[in-house]
Amino acid sequence: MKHEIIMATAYFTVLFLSLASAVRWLRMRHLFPMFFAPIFVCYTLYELVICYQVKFGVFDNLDRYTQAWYNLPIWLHEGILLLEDVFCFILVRRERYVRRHSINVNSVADALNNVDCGLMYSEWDGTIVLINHKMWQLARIFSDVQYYNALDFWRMIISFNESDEAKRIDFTSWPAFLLKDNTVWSFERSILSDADKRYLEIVARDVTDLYNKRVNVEEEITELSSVQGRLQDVLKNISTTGNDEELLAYKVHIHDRLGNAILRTRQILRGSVQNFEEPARESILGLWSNTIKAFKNNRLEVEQNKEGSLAALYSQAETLGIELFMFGDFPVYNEVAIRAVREAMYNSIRHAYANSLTVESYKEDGGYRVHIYDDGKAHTDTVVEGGGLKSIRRAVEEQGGTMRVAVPDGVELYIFFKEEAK
Amino acid sequence: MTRVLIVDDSVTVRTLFESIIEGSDVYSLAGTLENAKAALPFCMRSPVDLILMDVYTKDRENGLEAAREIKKEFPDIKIIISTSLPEESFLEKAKAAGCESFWYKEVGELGLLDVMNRTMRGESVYPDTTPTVSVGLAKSVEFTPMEMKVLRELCNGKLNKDIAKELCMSENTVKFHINNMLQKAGYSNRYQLAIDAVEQKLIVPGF
Repeated sequence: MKHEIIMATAYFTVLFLSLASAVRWLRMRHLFPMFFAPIFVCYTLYELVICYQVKFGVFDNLDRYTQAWYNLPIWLHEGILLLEDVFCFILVRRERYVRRHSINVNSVADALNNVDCGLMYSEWDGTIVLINHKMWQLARIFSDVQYYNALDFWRMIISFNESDEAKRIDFTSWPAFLLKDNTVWSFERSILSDADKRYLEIVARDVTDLYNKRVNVEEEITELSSVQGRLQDVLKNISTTGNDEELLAYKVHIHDRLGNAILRTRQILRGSVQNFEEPARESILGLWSNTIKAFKNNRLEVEQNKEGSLAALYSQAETLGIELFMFGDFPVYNEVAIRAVREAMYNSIRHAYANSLTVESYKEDGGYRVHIYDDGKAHTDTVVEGGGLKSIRRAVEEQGGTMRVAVPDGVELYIFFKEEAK
Repeated sequence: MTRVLIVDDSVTVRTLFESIIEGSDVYSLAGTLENAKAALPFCMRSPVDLILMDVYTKDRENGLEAAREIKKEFPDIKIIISTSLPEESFLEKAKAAGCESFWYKEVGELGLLDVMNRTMRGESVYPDTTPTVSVGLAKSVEFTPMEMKVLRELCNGKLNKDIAKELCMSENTVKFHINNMLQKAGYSNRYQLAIDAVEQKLIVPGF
């Protein structure tokens, strides 16, 4: 009888707990499949063995009820047990699914420990309420002391400088440290606000990749800076070197002409040229004339390089067929001012078909105020600044000045140069 | 008489060109300018038939750009681009701007006069090749057209990803071309290559 009671109890317990689990009535639903289900499975297997033993007459003194129970067809026992096992298996699967897809205390703890960064949460007074495994590991690297207060921990972090395990580095605005394993960690602190409560959050992030990239970028910037310097020098010299080569070639050419002229003249003076008629005379005169002209122009080039500014402007205006009027104190040594007048001259001809350009300038507030206007007609109410005007504006503003474009009739430029650049 | 405008920033070169024109029976001097940007305003005021245009003029003004604008306004004016810079792209840019001829500056009046005469007869005179310069161990002709394009962008200070975007290729292809050029030139890094290319005037950044 004892067996029947145990077995019946077992069967009903299985059924009850399974149903309870299914409706999530009992809070112990996790315990059942993990611990009790295997026990019941083992027990039912044991019962199966007993059934076989009864069937083959191992036990003699069984009452009739017991005998009747165990004399039921074996396939019925087996079927009941098989159903029980299947039911338990389904329950286990279900419980695993629920465990994975629902949030509970254990899942939160697991998740926090699995994140790649260190996390620490505390009450406003610093009492730690949550810390993950990574933060705990990091804290052990910085200090052997066990911290129970987040504020103390943060004070330790911001005052930490260097040890065998870690070294402070200047990387972000937050404290950052290079660890012995060549990883870089940055610590950040923030405040989390609930409806009526505030918490402290300390996060340690692995910024190794970012740090390595910054180191590489810094190295490249250093290299690029030196290269940029060299490139700028080269760019500055391109025109000069190109011109130098051309000049050298042309000077050789002029030299040859001069030699030729001298030789021809010498021949004439010595009387080796017998028929010194008019065509020959014209030829040698032309030779000397060209040579002298070349020498004159060569001298002019040197002079223009020194102080060509205003004279060159007037000369260019004359070449382009526009009259240039300049009044007042013009900043003649300011290259940008000269460029501005030149640009205005080009634009006056191209866009306003002007015949004259007027430049009025006077000293004011430690600078020069320059007003440039023409007698042409503007075709639009607004001016879109192209490459030339943009470039002038940039140059003026770099010098600390200002530039304004107005379109009353023609286009007018108002420029203030802060000081005269020599 | 064919009226010729000379645009060149060197007085000596201008003088030589002037003497060539003045010594000719078919050409007359319309004017001389040192800044390419002044050429268009000049053409708007004075009749010009032919322009001898330098590429790199005063204040870094681009003669090719000026030529393009002049051609747009005055398509009948013939333009000969003259330069001593071996930058390969200048030939293509001159053609794209619609310039009739291209002449690498030489010391010799006949060379220029010949080009001027042929241009005025309606011919388009372009050199077959650019002058060869050495970049490291390599001659400029050893670089493929695509490598030259990459080199030009490199000399303009662009990064691999920007070059790839500009030339519609992958970054790996850009690296491949740069490595090929480094091998040819015998340089160990791209900066040496870029500097040498600019120093040799094979590439003129910004032009």
